[in-house]
Amino acid sequence: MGAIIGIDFGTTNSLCAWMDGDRPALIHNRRGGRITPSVVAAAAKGEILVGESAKNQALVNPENTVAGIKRHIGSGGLVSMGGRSWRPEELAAMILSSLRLDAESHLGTDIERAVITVPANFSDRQRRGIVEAGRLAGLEVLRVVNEPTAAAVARAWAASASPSGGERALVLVYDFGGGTFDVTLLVQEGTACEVLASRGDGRLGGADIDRELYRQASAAFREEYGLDVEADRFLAQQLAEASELAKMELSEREESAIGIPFALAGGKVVHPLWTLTRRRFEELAAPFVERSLELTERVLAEAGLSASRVDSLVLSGGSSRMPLVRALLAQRLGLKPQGGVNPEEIVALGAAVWSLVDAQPDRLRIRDVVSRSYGVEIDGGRFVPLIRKNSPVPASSRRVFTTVADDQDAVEIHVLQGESPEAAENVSLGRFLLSGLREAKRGEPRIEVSFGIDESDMLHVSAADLDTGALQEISIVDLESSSSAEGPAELGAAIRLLAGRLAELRSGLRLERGLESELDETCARAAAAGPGTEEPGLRLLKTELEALVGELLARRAERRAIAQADKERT
Amino acid sequence: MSGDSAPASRGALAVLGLAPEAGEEDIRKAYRRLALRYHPDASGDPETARRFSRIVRAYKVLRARESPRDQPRSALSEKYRPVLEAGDDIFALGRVLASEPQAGARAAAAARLGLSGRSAAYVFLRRALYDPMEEVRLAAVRAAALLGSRQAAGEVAALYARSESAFRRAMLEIAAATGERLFRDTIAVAVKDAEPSLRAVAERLAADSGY
Repeated sequence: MGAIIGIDFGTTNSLCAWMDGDRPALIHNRRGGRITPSVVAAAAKGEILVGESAKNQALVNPENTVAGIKRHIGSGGLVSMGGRSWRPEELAAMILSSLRLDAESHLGTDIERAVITVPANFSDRQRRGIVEAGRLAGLEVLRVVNEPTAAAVARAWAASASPSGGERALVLVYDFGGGTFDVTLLVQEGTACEVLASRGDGRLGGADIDRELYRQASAAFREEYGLDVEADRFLAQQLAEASELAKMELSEREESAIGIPFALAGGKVVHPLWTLTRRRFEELAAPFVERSLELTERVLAEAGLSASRVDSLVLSGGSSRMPLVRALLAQRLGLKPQGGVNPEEIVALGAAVWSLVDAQPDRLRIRDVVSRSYGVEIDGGRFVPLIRKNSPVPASSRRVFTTVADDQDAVEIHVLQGESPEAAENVSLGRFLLSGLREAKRGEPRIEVSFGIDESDMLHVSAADLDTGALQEISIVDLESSSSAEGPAELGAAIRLLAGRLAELRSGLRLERGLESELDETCARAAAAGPGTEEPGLRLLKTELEALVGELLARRAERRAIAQADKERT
Repeated sequence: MSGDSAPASRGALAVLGLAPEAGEEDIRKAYRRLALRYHPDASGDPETARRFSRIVRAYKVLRARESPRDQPRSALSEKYRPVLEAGDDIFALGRVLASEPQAGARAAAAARLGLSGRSAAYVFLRRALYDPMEEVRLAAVRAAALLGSRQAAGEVAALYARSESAFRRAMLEIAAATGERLFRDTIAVAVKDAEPSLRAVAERLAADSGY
């Protein structure tokens, strides 16, 4: 079987870890480092370089060097390198493959399986892109795990080993990486985690601060030395690197300088130098950190909790090393980070811990958030989300709509999934009709639409005319949902849950014999499903149970409607 | 094609979950399957008994047609290899519905899902209600009726509301033939149909069913 590795595939850097017995441990790469830059390059003779060696030659070979490929995963676009076009997944696979080889030589065994982390706000396409990249790298991706959740799991694992670790704690994970920012609030009890709220920005990271530094430095160089950095890719690359270094240095020191020695400006050799104090740097970084704090505050507000209730703040991602981050978190929210945690390593360690989830489901239980937004189309083709992406599961929401025409007696509810404000750009999940509306002027009827997502990821939508009591509902099983996020442990739990619901729903309902025996037969298979059952079988069984839950819910609704009609008649 | 068969036999075919162009072989197979499933034994419930008598009646009507119109044809589902290979596996049939480029194959898969007698088949069937081809959508309506899927009610009514009049008529025909509850909402919309002849059919259905 070989070991399972956990990979933190980052925008700027990637790390790899495994479970050394009961303890997650980082895997060093062949150069002896813990961190592998997420950089790929094609060298002069077509040789592919990955990591440190790719980064080192970026200066002399910028056209054939690709950094930050993570931001392009799942985009469907192409990236050129070494005279040909590559899919982002192929380039990501080169990095994953290099990590795999490092792990193989470090552990002395074949590695075929991995858990890979992604930002919580990664879309389904991006997640599928990661799985694809893993496949190209010869890795079966057992799971794609949200980065903040991985960080929390690493913390939980470490805490559960300590004497006081089993206590219930509210944990805030502040994950500020090279390219993305995520903040997640969760409850932890022993090694069980439950996500309460989560938010992220896929375009907010340390790299954005580097770019701002770069912009200001190049403006200063132009003004003082008449040097146009943009005109020369070599210079631009050099300045970009110097900017990143200066930023890192300013986490430790009060002052740093960005310089490009021996540059040619207007036929003269100049040595442009731009000195930067930490205070100045922090002014420049403040808007980015502010944005992250704003998201953090919003997550707390969504969960309805004040910062003072947070028991533990876990920092993750290289950018969270900035003293400004710590200062503002302390000043604004009164939060101090937990000690003994290396923000750069925690996600990879968590990914390694996660590899145990399937093997030891009792030791680690995690409940996560909804991965996409769900809502309805309204007049004019606009999309109104009722359940937002990243809401904790189970989620529910309701909203009152009205009619657009006078005496409209029916309304179509068009259910969609997606993030675009335009309904047409989202994925249609179904349309159903609510008839029997109160005939009234447009805008008067009150139609309440409710959305609910249960622990098994089933979507229930209902619409009711609040005046007439007319009710209609559908249950939607998302057949395309990314399957890699669910292992046998979660499937087993979902099956038990669904079978329980079926038993509840059928009691008191009179059903025809065919349906009765189908329910008996399916529930018997659910009861027999155990650790020995193969995963595809579990998946099919779960879908069947969901379908039957949908049917019984509809039957119950029908019974209510008939009762209501009878009451009105008498 | 024999799609212009008389309304009576079209209705009878719908009771068996079959399209108007179904061949003798389809009829025999569907009847055998449904009769087996709905045969009321000692403990039979009224719903099953009601269905069974409809099925027997429909089969008699079809048998009494003046001589088979054509040579006994092979069953529609057997014309399409993927449908044949899927057999009774509702997941395999669901895959055919989702990915088969031939509309005929998709329609045959939908019909087959209806004959499976498994309520769970509706998760796959529902996507056929949104199929770009009319014949597939109609096959899905027939199959949902055959399964007695109540969860189809709202979606089938929405399909009625957005369809053209010939399609709406075909849907009402299925509703009339099968008398299935899932058409309650469809009938509620149809009694307001802009087209007088459809309105009349719907009013009769509404009166018959008592809702």
